Amino acid sequence: MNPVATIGPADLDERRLREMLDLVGPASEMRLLQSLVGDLTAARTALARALSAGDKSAVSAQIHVLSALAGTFGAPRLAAAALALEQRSRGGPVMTDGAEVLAMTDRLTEHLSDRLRAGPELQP
Amino acid sequence: MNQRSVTAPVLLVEDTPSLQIVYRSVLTRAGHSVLAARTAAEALSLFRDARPGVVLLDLVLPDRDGLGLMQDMLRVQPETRVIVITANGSINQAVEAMRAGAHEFLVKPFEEGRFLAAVENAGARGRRPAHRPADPPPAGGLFLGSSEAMMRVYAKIRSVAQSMATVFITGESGTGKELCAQAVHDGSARAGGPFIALNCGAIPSELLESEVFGHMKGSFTGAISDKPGAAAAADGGTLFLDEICEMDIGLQTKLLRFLQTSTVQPVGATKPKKVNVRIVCATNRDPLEAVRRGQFREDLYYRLYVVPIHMPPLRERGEDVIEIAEAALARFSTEEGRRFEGLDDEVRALFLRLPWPGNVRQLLNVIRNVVVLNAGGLVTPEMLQLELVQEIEESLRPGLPPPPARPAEPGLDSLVGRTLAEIEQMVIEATIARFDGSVPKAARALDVSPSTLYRKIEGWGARKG
Repeated sequence: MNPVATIGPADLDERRLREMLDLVGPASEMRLLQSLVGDLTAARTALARALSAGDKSAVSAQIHVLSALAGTFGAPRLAAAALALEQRSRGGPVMTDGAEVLAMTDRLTEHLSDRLRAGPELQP
Repeated sequence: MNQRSVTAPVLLVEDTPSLQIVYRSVLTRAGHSVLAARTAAEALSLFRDARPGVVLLDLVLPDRDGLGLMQDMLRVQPETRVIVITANGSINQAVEAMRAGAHEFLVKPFEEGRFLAAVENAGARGRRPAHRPADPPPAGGLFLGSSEAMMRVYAKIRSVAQSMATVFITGESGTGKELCAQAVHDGSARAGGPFIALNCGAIPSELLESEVFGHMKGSFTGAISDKPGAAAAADGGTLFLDEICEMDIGLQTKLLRFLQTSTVQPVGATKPKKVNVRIVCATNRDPLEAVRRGQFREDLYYRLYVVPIHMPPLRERGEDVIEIAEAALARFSTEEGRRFEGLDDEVRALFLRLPWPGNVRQLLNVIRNVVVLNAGGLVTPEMLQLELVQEIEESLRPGLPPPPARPAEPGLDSLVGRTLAEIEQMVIEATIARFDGSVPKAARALDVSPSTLYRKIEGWGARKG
């Protein structure tokens, strides 16, 4: 299987996201989107808190969630940036520069929230 | 045909709700009954009540470390197969999980087919209280076939599995050598231990020693932490060394010492460590010929070549091609959400006539292609890749037609600055294009087996995906 990536706004591979939504079926796709937005928001908040507190293990736990979400739902750049942040935080001093990951997460969350507000009839 | 071998519920332990929804959907669509938990406490309670045969376990849970939870579960019911899932794909973590008793280790995000195959694989062998020597090899991973040739393979596996003897598997690429090795492991008293597979041909020679024997932190640039290596990771289980004839000659000496002493000494370590490992190895080459050419140590050959098992090429397995194709069709249809009914008579006849140079791997690629590109129904010749039909026609004609006129060669300058892997990909793609998309013809021109090219193409796809 070698799908051509269709990277759209917020660095999102729309085809991959559509595959995931199709997997749960039309009746549950809004619930999945809602859940995804909730998970991204929670992970983003907890990551920001962990970064400012310099809590490496909490950073690692939230990166685990973020990279899994990003990889699964079609945001490979966010997944890669998150894993790179974890690598840096493991080897070097306590991380405070997760701004890029936080900003990418914000863009993705915003994009998905817009889709959620638009409702299922506007899905591609 | 019954695709699903798991009858007990699958316990899914994942604390991120959206991922739990996705994994649950994949499992439910494949016909599994699913119990789901978001915390370790909830998971353990469900586990005690339902006693699932297969557990999918996220390592990072809000209330407890996943590995500790796994060990508690295995104390309650040791035959349960735990598939550990994590977003952190470090080898250390995989080794730690396997040592703690995990059956398999999946790194998120994973492709749905890989995910389901892991569950099927675990379920097919889960809840088996003890080894029964008369059992046929497991059907997981499409290790199928009722031909006489395969019956001989099954008999050999049954007779050798319980011993500690080293098994040497030979056979063309794509014949299922790793599945055979896994069957030897699963039929052995070590089935509860880890099965660690290492492809000696896929790892750069400078890294291979560290991959096999491990290294200590600081032993070379980039060794930022201790790494146990595959031999130590396989302690108590089986170490499968694929493409053994590709192993660097210097490392063969170290492997021989390891076989003689059952000890490993990681790079940078001062003391060797005893390990208890059964070795199964495989090659698609003639190992004796490799010895004659000086590419493979003779003493290592005799130490490894204790019980040979030859995996027959698909063209010599008669009706097995139909059995495997139908099993793959059913499995891939489930994975892709399609409704296929089987192969029509014309396709069956075509499949039986084909020489299948890429063996089972090629057949699986063909079926995957049909399932992905078509909605369902009976598989007809029109659904098959054009190249496959051309291959049939070609196989009936002796000799290879002359290659098409060659376009101007690119200068070497355009290649300088690219990695070797990029150059290899460019050459392979250009050769396939020159032969109008025919992988078998390109393989012949490049003097490799078609399955080698299929595997590389698959690898590029996985990297892009």
